[in-house]
Amino acid sequence: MSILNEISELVIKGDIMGTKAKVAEAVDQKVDATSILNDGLMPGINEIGERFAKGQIFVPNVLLSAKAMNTGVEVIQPLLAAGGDTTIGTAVVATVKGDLHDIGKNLVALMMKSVNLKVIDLGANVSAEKFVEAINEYHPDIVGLSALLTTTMNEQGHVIEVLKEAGVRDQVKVMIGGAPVTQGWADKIGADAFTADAAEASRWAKTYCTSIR
Amino acid sequence: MVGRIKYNVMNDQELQHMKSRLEQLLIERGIHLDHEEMLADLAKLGCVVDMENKDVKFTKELIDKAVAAIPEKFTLYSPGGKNDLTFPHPEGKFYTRTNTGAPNYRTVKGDTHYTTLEEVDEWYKLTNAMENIDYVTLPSTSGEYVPGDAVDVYTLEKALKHSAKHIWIQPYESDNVQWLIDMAAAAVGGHDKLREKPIVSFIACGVPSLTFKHMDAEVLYRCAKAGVPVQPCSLPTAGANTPVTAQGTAFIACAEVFAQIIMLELLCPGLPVIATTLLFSMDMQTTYTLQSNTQITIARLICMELFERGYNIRAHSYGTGTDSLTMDAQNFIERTNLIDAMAMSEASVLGGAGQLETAKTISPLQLIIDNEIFGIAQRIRCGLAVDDETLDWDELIAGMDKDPAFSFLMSEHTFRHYAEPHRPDMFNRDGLVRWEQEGSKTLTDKALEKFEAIMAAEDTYALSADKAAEVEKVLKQAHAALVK
Repeated sequence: MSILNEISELVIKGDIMGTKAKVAEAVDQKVDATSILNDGLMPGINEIGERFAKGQIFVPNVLLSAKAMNTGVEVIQPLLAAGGDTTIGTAVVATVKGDLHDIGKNLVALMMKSVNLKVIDLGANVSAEKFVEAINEYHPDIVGLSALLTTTMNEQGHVIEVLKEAGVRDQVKVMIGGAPVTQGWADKIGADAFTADAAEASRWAKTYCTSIR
Repeated sequence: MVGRIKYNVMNDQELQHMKSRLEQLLIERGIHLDHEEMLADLAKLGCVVDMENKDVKFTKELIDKAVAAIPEKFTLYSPGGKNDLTFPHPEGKFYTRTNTGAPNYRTVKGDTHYTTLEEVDEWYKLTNAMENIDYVTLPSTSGEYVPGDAVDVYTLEKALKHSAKHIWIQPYESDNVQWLIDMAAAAVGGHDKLREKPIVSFIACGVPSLTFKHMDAEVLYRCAKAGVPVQPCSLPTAGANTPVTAQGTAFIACAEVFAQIIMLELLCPGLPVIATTLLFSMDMQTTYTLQSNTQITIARLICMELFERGYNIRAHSYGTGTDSLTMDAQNFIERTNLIDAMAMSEASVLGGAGQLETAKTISPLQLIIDNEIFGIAQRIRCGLAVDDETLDWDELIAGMDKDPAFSFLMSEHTFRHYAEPHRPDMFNRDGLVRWEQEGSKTLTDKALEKFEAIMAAEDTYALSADKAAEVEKVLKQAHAALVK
């Protein structure tokens, strides 16, 4: 087994320290950092994504593997070109104003990170204006709006209106989610995507970000 | 002896361990409470309050004082006056309630959508007719049909006008809490009368772990001031915002509920409270929140036992519900499994009637069937008295059955007891021939017939015109104040 295959296997196992050590060993052996990323770490996390989609593994497995991959990336980051940004895109996520429920949003953030997105988590009870500020500051590809209550899902529509007024709506794709949220609601308020759970959200985000790069 | 059949899921040592750790957690770690006025009052009452970080710790003395103040007996009153609920239940039964918090309504035709105000009317007409449903909640009316800032206020107006049964209120905004209390007071002729005979009680809810946002603190604070009962609640999700173990989740839920009860009894000694632990778990494969995980059912039993046996506090949890999206076999297995377990717990209240899809949808047909299921479960809870009369000792020892003319069908003992076996209204008790002659109706078909009969009948309850006008007056004021 090549050292790159070993790195993939360690990521799949979610072996954080093992991945870190093996990546360092590959660097010592003068293996190209880009190759370590693309042929070692990424195949491992992609395999995890596929197994999760098939219902073969559990969320903690995904998160452990993502952590293993990220630990490996930290080792090679200084050696990578273009400032070392290895992520496939950026997402800003938050629970909208008036709503303090953050379990779903936190899961989406974790799952997005696991597919190698950079995630800016603004927290819960976040105003529309804060989303505008975050878009201007972080230039994300995606904005994710979470709401658990029928009373706060209206705020998702309000955020989209404020993004339009601020002239930043076209810069991002807006994803929405939450227990009462439906595709019909997404259509009504002009969201770009409704995803029913965290895994679907991360898959949609990955597909979109990959498609524009 | 009625009401004596109980599961014990914790032995005495486990129960004492849980109590000891619970109190240690509240004394050493404490809670976070986002309510400055309440923090100041709690500090005056002797709690250890960090005003800057909004943290509260309790002392053992305060905990004991609060527990001692909890009334052993109290009544939740009904608007119609015919469904008052005396705690503990005088017959050893549990009380039941409808589901709360579901955004969706599934009509009898199978269409599922956000709940409308008209459907709230329908719901209360139905609950008034359900003999095994003791009190009601507010359906989560959609902000598409009433102002989003005042959904709870608009829905309470409907409840006060149409529900003959006690109303459990879940506010959605801090600013709405006092308006909801004012509206309930208007329905009974003032705040003093509401305090004397509370026709409503409130939900306040911890956001685990041990954190109370302003709205829920406001519920506790305003209810304590108004003398309105509270069913303090915790809604943890194992693995998501509480420990992944059912035991750890039960522990956090109990701690959150216990903290709320302590604060309420310190602020308003003698206030009726019901410890309400509504536990969920996260599925580690799909990440969906589940209601019907088996270990979580046991955790609910732990919570009931801790409060009822450990502290003599009335306790409340889910008694029905499902993770199924529809009224299929999974649905009925999960909800009957749950109610069979919970009926054997020490719970004083079991809830969730009418819900599907992990409490996200309410269904009139499911409510009608839950009414039947609760009827069965109450009889299981009550058990059977064992004595010479129920054994039919006199007839047997006299050898009456040896007489060729004797028939159990015609015996005096049978005449005294033949009507006792439970016959659920809608269950088939017929043979195949007549069942086919009458249209081969399923339970769901019969529930639909019952629904249509109830809807076709006259309303059995309406708030008096003068009180309704007072409620409307408060609604107008609340609208002006709340709707932006």
